[in-house]
Amino acid sequence: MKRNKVMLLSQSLKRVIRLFRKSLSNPILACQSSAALARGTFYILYYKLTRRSVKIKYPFYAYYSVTIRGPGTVRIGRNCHVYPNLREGLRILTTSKESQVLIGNNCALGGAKIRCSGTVIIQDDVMTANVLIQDSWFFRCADDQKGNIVFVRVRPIFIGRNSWLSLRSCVLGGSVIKADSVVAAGAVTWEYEGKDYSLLSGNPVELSIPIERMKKLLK
Amino acid sequence: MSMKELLSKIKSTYYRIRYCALNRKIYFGRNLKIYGRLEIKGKGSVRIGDNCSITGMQGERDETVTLYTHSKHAVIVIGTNAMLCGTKIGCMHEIEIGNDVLIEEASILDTDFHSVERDRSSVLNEKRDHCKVRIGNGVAIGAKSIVMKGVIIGENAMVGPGSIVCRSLPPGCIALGNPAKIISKLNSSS
Repeated sequence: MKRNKVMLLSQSLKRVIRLFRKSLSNPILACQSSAALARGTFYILYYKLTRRSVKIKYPFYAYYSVTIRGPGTVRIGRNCHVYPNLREGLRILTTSKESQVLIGNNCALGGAKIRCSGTVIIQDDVMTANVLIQDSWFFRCADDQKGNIVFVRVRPIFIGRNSWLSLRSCVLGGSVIKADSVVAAGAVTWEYEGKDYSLLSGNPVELSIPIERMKKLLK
Repeated sequence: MSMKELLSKIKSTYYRIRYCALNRKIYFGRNLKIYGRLEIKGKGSVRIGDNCSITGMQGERDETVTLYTHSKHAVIVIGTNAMLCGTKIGCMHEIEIGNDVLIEEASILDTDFHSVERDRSSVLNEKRDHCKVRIGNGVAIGAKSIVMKGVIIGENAMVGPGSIVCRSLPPGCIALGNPAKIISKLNSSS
């Protein structure tokens, strides 16, 4: 046990030394990232004090604004980044106490809008641009009479690890995006289950092309 | 009365004084609830019915509802019990929105604003009858969608988020995509 602890300490020291060398070689980037880290820690403390249901893990890099509203549970994993994307940061909105948003480690969440009334699961290493992730057709329908119609009902969203949601795409209720896949710009997925490592495109998405095959075609 | 409703009442009286006091062409109905922000510009007439609510998406930076009129003869009519969340409306001729309507962050336009000529001057052959946009009672329109000129959407129709409507839709249908295609039809009972 003691030996393990010593190993861990030495590893962390090595990491710190490596970071220091990097910052000497590129001081502007180091300043930016340290400012983002400070802002991120401020957000962590702010949401710890004001909201019990929101938990963000350290380190959290916030290069732009992060707003979380609503009573539902929100979990954000380690080492997540929020970059500015079309002058917008991360926005999460939940309606009820049962609704939950679970985000994994090492995500880059620039400009993502997440509106959740059921469950939204985002796994590790996911990259997003300015996208809308909404698990029902009409978000305001809970107050309205249209809630009991089939098309409006809430369905869970699953976004697999290392997938990439590109600019101005919508991910609606019931869609399953599997690992390593790409959602094309302007695509709208609704009640669609893609395959592993494939490209989803179109509005609405009707077919997913495996990227292996696409590479062969391009050659 | 909760804090939120009190704030909305204060806001609605403020907007009533700001827009309706001097301008005769703008009319707000009774019991208007404003939770977000409202912006009205232009010389045309705007009419909002009773019990309407104007909101924005929470936590959004831009949660204004904009009602722009681009000419003297422009008319925007909104019925009773309508709900607008961050909707953008630009009107040159006439836009008519029915009762019990839910419109999220969509945008509604009834002109192209410019001609296809090389000098991009004002629009040449746009007639009022062709460009009129009419949205029926009980329609719901999702976020990020666009309604183009000359579209008539029938009663109780639904337009999904991210779709672009450039042809008119029959009553009781459900449409999604670019261009918006009819997926299925609602039963008359539900």
